[in-house]
Amino acid sequence: MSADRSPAGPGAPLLAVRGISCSFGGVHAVADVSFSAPAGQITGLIGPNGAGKSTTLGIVAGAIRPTAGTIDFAGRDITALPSYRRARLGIIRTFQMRGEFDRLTVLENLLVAAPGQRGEKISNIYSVRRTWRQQQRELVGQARELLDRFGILDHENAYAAELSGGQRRLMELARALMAKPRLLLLDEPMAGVSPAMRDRLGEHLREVADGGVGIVLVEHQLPFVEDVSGHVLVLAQGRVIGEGKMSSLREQAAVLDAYLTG
Amino acid sequence: MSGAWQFYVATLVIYGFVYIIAASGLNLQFGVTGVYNFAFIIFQAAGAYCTAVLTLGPSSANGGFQHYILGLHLPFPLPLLVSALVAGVLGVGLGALTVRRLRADYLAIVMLVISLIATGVVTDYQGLFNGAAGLALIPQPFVSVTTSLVVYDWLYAAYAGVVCLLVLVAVRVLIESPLGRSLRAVRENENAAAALGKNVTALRLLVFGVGGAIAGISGSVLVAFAQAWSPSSWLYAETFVLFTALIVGGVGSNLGPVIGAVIVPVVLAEGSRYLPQFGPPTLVPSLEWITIGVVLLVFLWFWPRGILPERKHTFLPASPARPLTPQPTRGLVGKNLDGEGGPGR
Repeated sequence: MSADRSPAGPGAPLLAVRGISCSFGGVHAVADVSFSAPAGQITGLIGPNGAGKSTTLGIVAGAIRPTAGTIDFAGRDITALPSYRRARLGIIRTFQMRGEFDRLTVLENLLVAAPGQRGEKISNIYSVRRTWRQQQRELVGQARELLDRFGILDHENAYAAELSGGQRRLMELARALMAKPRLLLLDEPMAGVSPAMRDRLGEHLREVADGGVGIVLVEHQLPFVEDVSGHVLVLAQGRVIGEGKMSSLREQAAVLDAYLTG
Repeated sequence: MSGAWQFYVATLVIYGFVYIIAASGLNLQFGVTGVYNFAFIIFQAAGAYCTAVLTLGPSSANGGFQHYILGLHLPFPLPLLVSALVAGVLGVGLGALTVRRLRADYLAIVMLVISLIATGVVTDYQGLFNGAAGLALIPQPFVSVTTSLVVYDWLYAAYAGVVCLLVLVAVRVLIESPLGRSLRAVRENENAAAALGKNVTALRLLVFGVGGAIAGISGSVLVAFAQAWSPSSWLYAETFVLFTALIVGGVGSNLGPVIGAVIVPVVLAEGSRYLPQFGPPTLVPSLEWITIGVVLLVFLWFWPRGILPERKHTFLPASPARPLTPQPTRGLVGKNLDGEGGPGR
């Protein structure tokens, strides 16, 4: 999925976050956070509410400007790039809340995400109509395949606003994949998703990672994180307080205090 | 029909086309992209003034009773084309000043202020477009074709109709294209659109430009018929007439602006003429505005998607399921993006 775009240098992580900080009105939402995420692996990001997980994702995606630190993606410093430029490099995020285009159909939500559409240039709309319509037909086919994989093909003509919470998460995931990502930033993708679908989603995510895509996963459902992630970071009060395999994290006193024992 | 009635009806038809053109431009900005351009009317004014000073001869002609810039006396259709370009560039320029930094609601306030400032500047700067008195005796484009006033008016109505049709088709193709889909995505959720690689600022600037150009075309068509244009022709309230037309007709839909422009500025506004005079002399003219305001409120409360709501954009099913014969319900259902019958709303 990502092989056609420039790879990171040998051994270099796909994403390298170094010392990022961000404050809102004097509150340090994220303080000196560093981590890296390799291609082809799922990196978990866990922590109690307010730990700074979503803010960290927002900073990596370019929606929130950090007050300090740098972000490298595929060997390139992207700290100053706006979010749409990062998305075009292949950094695609999902949202914890309100990530849909409510009054677009489910299928259209996916089509919006497809990169390199010829019919998005005003100069092409009137001149090469046949070309972009042909491309659009192909994209509709791809979008339907993805919807089928996530079990929501029946809803392709529903407005996104009409979906249940769990269906919205599935649609957002399908949409993120439609964007042909190199790095997926997933913010609580399991919220509201049925247990049966959760297992299937886990498989999908591993398949996507096996295809070479790096994934950063923010999730509260720890068994799921343990199931899919090799490497997990624990955030609390904006700082990284532990990282490693889930099994080893369970034995670290600081992590237990901050989070796992609640 | 008597000549006077024909003149009246032809005038209404031309004004109807002008309002439809303008409402289509506003629909692209507000209905499709969600940009609150409360200065929309100044782009129509820009097109009108531009056509006026490009069509008129030098300012010193006719005894120099009016003062304005340029006076190039250009032949048709150059003034129309240049007016569209000028209004479009003005749109991108004002958009660049505002869109990048302001959220939707603040943008609306700033655009309203810009509209008021523009009226003030044009009114007070006599040498620009003859100040408060405005420009008059603007030459008509097709006078050499016929000497009959009634025939001329119907000819002009046909011309306005053709321009209107071209604008409607162009806007429709844009709305139905992947670009139109991205514009709707920006309207629905700009953060999600940016997270999927859409340059939200550039897309908003684009509709400021295209919508501005369309408004400029409407002003150009109007002024070449009315032959006069002054600051009182484009007060900020006219923008809200167009917003009301859109909300009544159907925000974001292709034909909503057509229905809305016929109902609000033409039927409602013109209808007040036929009311018997009662109460203080200013009451009946004021009723026009009161009616428009009440209609706007009623629609926002009870019918916010308008008479012809934005239709659902669906796609043909994959080829094995494609029906081999035309669907008998065709015409009753929505049309999909491939232009064939499909499950509509």
